[in-house]
Amino acid sequence: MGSVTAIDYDQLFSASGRARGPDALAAMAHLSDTNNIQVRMHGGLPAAANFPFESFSYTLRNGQRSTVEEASKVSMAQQYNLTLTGHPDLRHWMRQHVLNQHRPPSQHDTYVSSGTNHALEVVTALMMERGDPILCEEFSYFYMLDSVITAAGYKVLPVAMDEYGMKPEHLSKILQQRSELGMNIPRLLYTVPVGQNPTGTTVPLERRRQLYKVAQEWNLIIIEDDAYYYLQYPNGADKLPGTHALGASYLSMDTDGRVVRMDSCSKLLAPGLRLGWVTAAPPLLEKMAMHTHASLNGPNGICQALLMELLDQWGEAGFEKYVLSMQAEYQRRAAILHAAVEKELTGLVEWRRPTAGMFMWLKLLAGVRDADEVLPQLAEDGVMASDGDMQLAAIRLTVILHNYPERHHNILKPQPGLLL
Amino acid sequence: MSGSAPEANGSCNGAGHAITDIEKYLSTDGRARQSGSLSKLIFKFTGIPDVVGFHGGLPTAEAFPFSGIKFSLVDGEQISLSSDQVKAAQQYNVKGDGYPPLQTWAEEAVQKLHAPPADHAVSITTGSNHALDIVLGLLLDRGDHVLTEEFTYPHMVDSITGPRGYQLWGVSYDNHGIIPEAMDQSLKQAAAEKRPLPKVLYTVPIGQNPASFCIPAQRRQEIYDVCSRHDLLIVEDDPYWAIQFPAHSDGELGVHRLGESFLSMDTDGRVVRLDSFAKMLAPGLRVGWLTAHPELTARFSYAMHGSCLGPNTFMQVVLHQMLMQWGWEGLDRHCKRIQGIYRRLADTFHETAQEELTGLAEWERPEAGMFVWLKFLAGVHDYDDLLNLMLEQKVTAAPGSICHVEGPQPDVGCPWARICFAAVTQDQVKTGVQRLAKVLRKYQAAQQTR
Repeated sequence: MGSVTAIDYDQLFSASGRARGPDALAAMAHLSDTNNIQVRMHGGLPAAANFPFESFSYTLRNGQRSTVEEASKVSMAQQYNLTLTGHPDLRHWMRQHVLNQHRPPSQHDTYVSSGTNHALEVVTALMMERGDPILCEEFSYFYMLDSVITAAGYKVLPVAMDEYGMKPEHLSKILQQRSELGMNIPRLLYTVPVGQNPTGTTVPLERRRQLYKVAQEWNLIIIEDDAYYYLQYPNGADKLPGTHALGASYLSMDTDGRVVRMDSCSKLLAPGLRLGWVTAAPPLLEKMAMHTHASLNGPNGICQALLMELLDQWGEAGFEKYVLSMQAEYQRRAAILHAAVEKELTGLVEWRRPTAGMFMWLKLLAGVRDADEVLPQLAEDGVMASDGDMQLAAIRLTVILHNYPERHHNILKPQPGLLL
Repeated sequence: MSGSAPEANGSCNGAGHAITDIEKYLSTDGRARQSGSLSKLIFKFTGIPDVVGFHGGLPTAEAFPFSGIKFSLVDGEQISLSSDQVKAAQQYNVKGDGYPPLQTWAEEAVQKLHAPPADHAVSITTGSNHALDIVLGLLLDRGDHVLTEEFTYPHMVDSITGPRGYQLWGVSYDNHGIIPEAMDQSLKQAAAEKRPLPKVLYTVPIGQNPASFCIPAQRRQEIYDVCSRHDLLIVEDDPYWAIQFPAHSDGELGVHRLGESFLSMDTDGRVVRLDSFAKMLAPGLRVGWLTAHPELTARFSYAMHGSCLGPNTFMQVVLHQMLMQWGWEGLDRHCKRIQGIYRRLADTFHETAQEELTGLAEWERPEAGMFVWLKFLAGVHDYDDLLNLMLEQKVTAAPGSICHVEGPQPDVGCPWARICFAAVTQDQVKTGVQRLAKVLRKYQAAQQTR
């Protein structure tokens, strides 16, 4: 497996992070296990006999179906999470999948998350105090900026980007300047390295290595928010990568144990499940799992059970097939949007063909200085785009439309006066 | 929202201190909490036909894996989601206060079951634990005080107030709940000594965890009045509300005869009520609902959405369909069924305890919830005295000290234990009590030979 983390996490935790410990009944549960006690009256678990569901089943779009009906599974799906890391079978699958997929060079552990958004709230709360700085790509995921960072009173330190992602020289420069001025050095670096929200950028290997090196120099913890990891299609419809050619994650080069990787079911499967998985060095992962359990009692059991059933039914081959089908779907939509933009907006905007994820980043030319100049009119014409309140001549289009493909062409025709 | 204006109720009651400005009750985090800008955009344009929505990060419903979802219920009911429901179940929440049909159900339920007298708003939650964590975060800064019974929900102590740095004020209680005079006295004294006052009363008024009391209507009004006088908000955490089985009742209570909540007497708009499906249905669903002053509910929704993008839509959709199929009759039937199950377990505990534990321990027959609050006699100073014997006899209970507002303290003995009679079978309840009795007799014998 490799060495235990080189990071002294105890030095990095916030006040609430340091105070975060196992709940009082955990010790009793442990004693019950080690002493083989069946009559357990210490916990606050309601009677399984009361649970309303006897079984539940799903049908997939391809017609496959399955039912969760075995009593212990149905019961577990409706009961509180009895471990801090989610349902043991699902967690095992996720842990194994991460090891196979990323082969992290130092010790890491994995828990079942209640979605990446919550994991972001947890990891920042564990390691930051109000007023602390956090490094982000200069264009970043809106929810992270608004609902995690701004709401908690953290400060964003934006790192300049080019077409390959954050610029290592700028990252170094920010840290160097802060150090020289005696300002506090940020602990966390937040990145969406594949199909970045909003720019659609995927960070190539060499750039990642450079950024990792800077992180090492300044002892930064890298939050790798990889929501679009599986939705890559850089070589078009004919050479979809499946799970075997998705590129090297930060986790895969994490010799130090400084990467916190967040995987999500939201874009790969469906966001309504509120599920994902988090991988980090054991001292940090343990705190994150405890905090997740303490705040929302872990992920909902029914969806965990459904997901496990689905993964069991698919096996490795089925999962591969499904990932390929999702890549094909997103690639198709991206290609349509790209063709429409090429046809209607050449000369009016600059853009890059998306190679992953669901966003296309349009730089507005034609004398537009700020997206606010055009967004209202776009809205009047029935086209919603977003600029995330930035002072910027750029808008983000979501590749995924609910009515496609014909409508793409109509709406992207430049409206008189719109982009002049 | 329904309910008369706070000012009118204030003058009606004479003593009312209606809440008009929620800002002054909020913490630093609470005041900073606004709806995320992209959320605002998404929520604003949800449901408008013919909009080409390039703006959100909502994945396409056509790519979702499930095309059909079915649930079979223990009572024989079959839930089969429509194609639209299956899509909605897999999509992000498009409104901050939850899946709209379920939120509507919750509003109706609150009106039907509590008829709150002040303005209020209802949001679906991710379960009461998370709701509690969020609500306290909106109201309290590090170092602020929460008033509660001397023994309270242990999770509060070790997982919320501890890490967040809140101070817990323990107040005396009896088997009807917090003693209003003790609470009033405590607050008056602190005010006179210019010590910081709590902003919030936290209570589990039915089947209290751990002391298992139920606060009757008269006592509730007295507690409410003290809170009103001292301008405390009341966090009414009521997960066992539907699990009531009073010894003397004319049949099971169902869902319509569950008594008066704090919310139902909330003329000031100071109650934040947490309802949960966890014990009423199942904890693994992670869905509940919250009722509070409209501005506080709004902040709550923003905070919840910001924290985790809201409750899993999957179960919200399934639950809504189930509640529609059950109707109020079905929900009433379900509540009666589970009340019967808990009643039998509680009765088994109480009867076996009367046979085995008389003289060795003191307890009250529980009338709600899942717990018995047992005081050890037999010379026991602290639960720890019994631990080895309990392991040897193969029975566990929760040490009372973990429920104390100050947590376990090595030099303060706590001869109490919280017994959960819910997650064990009838036979295991009997066995458990018999083993406890054996533990206590052995302990007593060992003491006598010293």
